[in-house]
Amino acid sequence: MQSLQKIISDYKQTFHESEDFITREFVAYKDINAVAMFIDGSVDKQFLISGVMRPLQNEDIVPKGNIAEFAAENLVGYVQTKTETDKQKIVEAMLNGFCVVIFENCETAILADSTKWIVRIPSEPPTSAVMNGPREGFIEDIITNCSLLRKRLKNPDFIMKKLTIGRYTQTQVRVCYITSIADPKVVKMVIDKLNKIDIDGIVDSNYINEFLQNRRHTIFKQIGVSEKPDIVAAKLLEGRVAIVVDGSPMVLTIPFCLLEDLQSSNDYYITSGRATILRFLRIISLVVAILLPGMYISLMVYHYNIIPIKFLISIANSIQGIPLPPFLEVLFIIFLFEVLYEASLRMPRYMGLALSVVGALILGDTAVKAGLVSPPAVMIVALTGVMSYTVPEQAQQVSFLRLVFTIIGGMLGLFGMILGSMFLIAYLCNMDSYNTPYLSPFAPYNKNDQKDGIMKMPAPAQRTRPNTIPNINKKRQG
Amino acid sequence: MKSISTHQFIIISIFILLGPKLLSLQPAIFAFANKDAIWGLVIGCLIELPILLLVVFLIKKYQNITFYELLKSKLGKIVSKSLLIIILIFILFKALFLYQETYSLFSQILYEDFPLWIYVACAILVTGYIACKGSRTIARSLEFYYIIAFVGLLISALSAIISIRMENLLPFFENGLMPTLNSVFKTFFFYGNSIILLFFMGKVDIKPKFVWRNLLAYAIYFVYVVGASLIFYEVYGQCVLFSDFTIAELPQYSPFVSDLGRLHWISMVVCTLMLYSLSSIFIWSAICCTKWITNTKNSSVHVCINMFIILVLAIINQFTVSVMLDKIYSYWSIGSIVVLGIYVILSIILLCLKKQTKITGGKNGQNS
Repeated sequence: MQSLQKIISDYKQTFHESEDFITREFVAYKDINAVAMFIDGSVDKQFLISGVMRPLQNEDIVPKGNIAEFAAENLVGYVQTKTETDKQKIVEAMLNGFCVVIFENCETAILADSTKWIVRIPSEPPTSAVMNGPREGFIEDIITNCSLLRKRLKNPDFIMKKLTIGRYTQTQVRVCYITSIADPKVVKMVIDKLNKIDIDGIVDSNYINEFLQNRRHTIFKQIGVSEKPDIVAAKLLEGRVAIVVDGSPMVLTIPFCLLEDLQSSNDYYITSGRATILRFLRIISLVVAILLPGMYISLMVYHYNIIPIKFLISIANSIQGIPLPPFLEVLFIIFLFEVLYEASLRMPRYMGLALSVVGALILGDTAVKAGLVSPPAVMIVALTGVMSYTVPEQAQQVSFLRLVFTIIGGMLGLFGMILGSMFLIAYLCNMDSYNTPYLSPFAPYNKNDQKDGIMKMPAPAQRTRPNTIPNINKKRQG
Repeated sequence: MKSISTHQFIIISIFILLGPKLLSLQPAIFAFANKDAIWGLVIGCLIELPILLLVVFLIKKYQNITFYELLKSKLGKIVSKSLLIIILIFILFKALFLYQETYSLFSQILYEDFPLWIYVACAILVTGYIACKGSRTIARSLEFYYIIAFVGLLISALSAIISIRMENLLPFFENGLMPTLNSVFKTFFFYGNSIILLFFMGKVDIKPKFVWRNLLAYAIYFVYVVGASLIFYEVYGQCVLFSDFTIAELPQYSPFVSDLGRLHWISMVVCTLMLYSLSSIFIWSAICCTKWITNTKNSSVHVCINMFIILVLAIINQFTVSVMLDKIYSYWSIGSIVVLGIYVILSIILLCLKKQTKITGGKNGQNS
């Protein structure tokens, strides 16, 4: 049997004399030496004193048998406790915010849940602001995030499987799904893939995201990401699986199809007609944002004969004297736009206004006045830049594709644009995300799923769950 | 698992039937039948119907085996492989002509100087990629843009409807029926593409009213081709002979030209979309043929082989429509008649044979 000092010294060595490893010795049950050990900053110290140490100090009864088991039972009224003898598990518990109490001459330790990590209050996520509907967003704490989901899914069928990933970070990951709706094959695929992850650390859900993707080398999203519990709850109700990662406000959802990003949570809190119009608007914006600069260059360089004559004269007047050919001109403006975007993301917030003044007014206006670029080219790139943010989740992909199609349009004209579009569609049609076609419900076409496709039918008309998302319970109403 | 739904199969049928009749066929018929060209076209389109029906019935009858498995089980390895070689040549010539048609379309209408090698490299890359990805990707791609394609075709055909002059096709049969029949014979190369659908055998998730749905697809095709051709002949009159691209050139007579610019770019986009999709289907069918003939499975290798053969054929034919049309009018059409004849007789025999393969039903269409 080890002495208490030896035990403390052992644990201190395990933590390499780290400053945030705290030990507090005290006397319990009047004459039994004990030590409380915890990681500073991860526990509620007030609660530790009032809920763990003081009850043990004040207890008069002399314990019989295993002191730790006895004490754990005594503390039940104050705090959630369990006992453990395995040192590895005791260390893990401390790292997860538990306070460990060890008594002299006793091999068993008490693990008291006194966790209190520093977390922020759930607030409206900046990337998913809505006019109507809930404004709660996920935060960096997994417990809070899971409780936000549980608040919306009060059913025992909604379950969470816990996994720990990351040799150093020991990050807690929870796989959430509704067992009576989600397809067990998809759930198994997800859990198997998560179990195979062997990495030193997971600091954000995007690390997991990259491991879960079926295709590693693609620019297209294969896993859904959301910051809002109402969106994740709705996806779980369709049969998807959600992955909540500790330390990340981004919850992953699987399977994913492109249509998801064209839908906004706001669509479900406004009238169906309005939602349908907005969805059309987003799709048109997305297509135009990708193709417009390329089309403009194609027309200017190769096919000016198909531009209406009045329009052609107007454009010809505005591009007179521009030193760069249309292809390089548009590439130059796209480059400027991307630089401004990147700088505005990284620049301190108070500099943002100054940057927009410099970017929009000085750079744009002066470049046109100086005759470096033409107004139509600036207008087209600016327009596509704005349009790409009608679907913010796809903005990165749109930005990349816009550049690709601009180059194709400049090099091959309309012929290249058509071939490029065909290639893109075939590529997307070939993609699957966990047994869900990427372009569903359009390719393959599914009549039932059109009710919440481009068109948004009222909720009473959507009597079944989507067919294209694997699930075992189709019935939604009645 | 079935990789193609009935809906996708119907769309593929329409693309296969419609594709070759969008550009060069109408002027070619007119060269032989003159004012009776529309009747030549009607007869040609009607010839498609029994071929399509035979193919559809065969696909419906043998739902769980591929075309090669069917041939092998009924005719043996050697005969079936010989038949596949014949159909491979048929397919490659068809694909070659489609590539040629689209090249001519671009080089004559949209580009002042369009390098052939750029065209060949890009077209082969994209259609080869799509073909390489298999029937499921092809079917899904067509399903994704078929509405855009069909709406575009409709706009192209209707854009010039105000300019039609009925007298351009009257009177009928001034020189008897022979020139009309001769035109069908000379342009037979453009017909009979529906036998390509045999390559989808065993992959289609057959739903009720499969045959009726295919008949509907045929009706859509027939109405569109005859309607658009009628407008084309009546708008262009004797100038048809100077017009190489039917649908793509039709919008040039549109009264809306001054307001919206030259609408023919819409037709150009739609025609290119359809012709390249069709080329992908042909290349995929050719890949199936070479895979079955050689008993190997690497799609990339087969794409390269087929593309190489097409390139060689293209060089032999100088990659010009006029050179190819001369051959089409003579032995390419005769060759088509022979190939189609063989396959029609074969299909009838296979349909009449008692089925030995147990049909377990194709219920799973989830992954289509």
